[in-house]
Amino acid sequence: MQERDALLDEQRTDELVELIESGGEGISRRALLTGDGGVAGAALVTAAATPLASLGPRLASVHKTPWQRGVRLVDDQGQPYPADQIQIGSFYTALPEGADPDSLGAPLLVVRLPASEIHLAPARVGWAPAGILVYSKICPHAGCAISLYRYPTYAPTSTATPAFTCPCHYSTFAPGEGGRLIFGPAGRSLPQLPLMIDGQGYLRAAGPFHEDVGPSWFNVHRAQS
Amino acid sequence: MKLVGRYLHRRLARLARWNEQRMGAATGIRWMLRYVFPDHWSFLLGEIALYSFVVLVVTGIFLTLYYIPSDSQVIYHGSYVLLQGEQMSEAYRSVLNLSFDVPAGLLFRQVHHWAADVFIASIVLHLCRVFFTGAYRKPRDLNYYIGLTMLMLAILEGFAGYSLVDDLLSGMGLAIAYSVALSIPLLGAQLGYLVWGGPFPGSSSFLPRLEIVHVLLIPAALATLITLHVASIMRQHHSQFPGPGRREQNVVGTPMWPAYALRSIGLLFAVAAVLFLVGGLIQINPIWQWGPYHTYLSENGAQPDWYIGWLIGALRLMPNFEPAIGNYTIIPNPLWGGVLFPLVVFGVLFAWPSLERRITHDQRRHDLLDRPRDRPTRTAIGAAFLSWVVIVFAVGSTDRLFFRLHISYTAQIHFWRVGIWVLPIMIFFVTRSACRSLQASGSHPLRNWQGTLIRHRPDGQLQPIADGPEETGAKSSEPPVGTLPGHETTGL
Repeated sequence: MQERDALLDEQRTDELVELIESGGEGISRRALLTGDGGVAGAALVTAAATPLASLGPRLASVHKTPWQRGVRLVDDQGQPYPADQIQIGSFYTALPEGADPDSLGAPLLVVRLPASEIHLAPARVGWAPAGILVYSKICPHAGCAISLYRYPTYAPTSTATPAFTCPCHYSTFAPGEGGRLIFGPAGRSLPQLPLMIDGQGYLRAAGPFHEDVGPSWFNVHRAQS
Repeated sequence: MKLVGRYLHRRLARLARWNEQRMGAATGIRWMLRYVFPDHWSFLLGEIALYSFVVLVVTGIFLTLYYIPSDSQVIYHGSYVLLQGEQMSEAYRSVLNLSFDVPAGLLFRQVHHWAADVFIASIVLHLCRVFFTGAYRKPRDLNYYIGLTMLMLAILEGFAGYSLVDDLLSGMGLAIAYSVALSIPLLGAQLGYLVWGGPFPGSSSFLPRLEIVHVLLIPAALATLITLHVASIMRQHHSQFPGPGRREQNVVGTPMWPAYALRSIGLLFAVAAVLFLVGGLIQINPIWQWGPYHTYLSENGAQPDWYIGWLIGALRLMPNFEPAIGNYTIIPNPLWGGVLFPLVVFGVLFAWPSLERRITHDQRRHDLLDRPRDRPTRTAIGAAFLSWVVIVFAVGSTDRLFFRLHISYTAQIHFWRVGIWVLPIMIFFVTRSACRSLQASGSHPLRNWQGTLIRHRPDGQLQPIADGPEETGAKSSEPPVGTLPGHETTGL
């Protein structure tokens, strides 16, 4: 058995407070306030500069994308995608020809749907030649690559519609409806890329993304709804 | 036979004299050796955490000798045939080589990984013990804050550790961490760029930064805080459960020398032995199966280490609420689950001691612990809060339930979006009434149960002996615990 210390000793505590206070004698309150206040004010202004900067004109896109009119879609071996190879019921990963495949703006999902499954907004009607639709592969929720594709092959047993699903937090998007979110936590649709088929039958971007790609940030631009 | 014989006595005397002439520390060492530890099994949880940390440091030093924090792309030519010819980062190749070509490398990596899981698990159990017995009250509130800080650092440390490997799984985890950083209003993108050295997957300086955080900054902070934690315990002495002869002003238990020191060293060896056994026998994080990370690849059904599960669960459970002005997002969704949820959990834990003092107006010093049943409201709040976090944690594995048991994933999420609020409230009331009835009956359902005696009959049948266990002198070594006079049994 052992006894505990009382810990609190009033006299020692008072002596300590006195010792600390005595060190401050000779410094006038006004000098302290002006000196400290000046330093603190200057530091605060410096610290505020960064957030103030971000409140100004909108920053250039956080995730740059190499996609613009004419960039060809290739697979991970660098081979271009002929449009007639894209099968209904499968999904393909496409990368930009001659650009860094690892930037968040680069990877795409490619699927083909029958005309009955495609319900695009009027402004996007020309984006899906031959029923081929192309989307950013990076989930706008938390930046994972979307790698699950649900395509109901047997209509009588499945009422589910086609869907892309991200394996990280299960955000689910409708490929036939411009990437509209149908389940999960993502706050915006999956960005769609306008597509064209060139003279040799290969897939090419028909223009840039019309919204920001990659995980969202403050002030991120989402699609026109 | 004495432990210290005559020869040893002379050596010991010389050593003590040598030390005394230099340090004059005899009084201090004497004080240390007479230090009294109260006996209770739950006091070992913190020690298990401490010894897991020792194992982590030892195995971690071994791993740093082989790990290369480089994102330069190389072609793999090591012994794992299925990845030969594959392009990957030098970091991932160095961990593959460590696993397949360095003698005992895989053992050390697996022990390190298991030890991290055990480290954080024992901290969490230790925290539960401290909370439910009221050990965080004055004067130990300060030490409780140190402990919570260590828990936060340990989670960050574990995440940084498995992110260094640069396999597919760790890349996905980093992508989520980057998105969570980006979700912070106003400053998120700047913060993400600052930490990663540019947009994800970041510049070549990112992996070296992460390595310094993992092998130097956080371990040094943890070691400092562990020292403060232990020093503060020794200054105040351990808390203890009430019992005969135990008062607020004393400590009843086993002295450091000879009993407790030997027992604790035994625990160190036991923890190390179990971790090496598990690390040698049970595979953990088979990084060669996932392959190298690219932003355009992902693994289906991926699960993080258990201590990240609550954050994954929060991100999955959150509805797609994302305030926007026009077509511009104000608060990206990962902020709710990835930033606010852990802030609330740790905020409540940090605020609790002063909150309780404010409600109960109890400013006194407490060195005797509460039994959970004697504080029904506190125990009920703790159980409800714990269940709230555990549900979110469990939601992190709803996809596994879907794959194994075919319970619809969407149905599970919709169920838990309501259950997360209903179940903790139910648990609050059930726990509080259970505490009150235990208090009223004074029974101990978990104590002294010795099983049922059975007899092996000549015909081979097993027959229970109706009388139950025979009363022996060795029924319980623990003294009966009762409520002391002046020990309120109502309120918190």
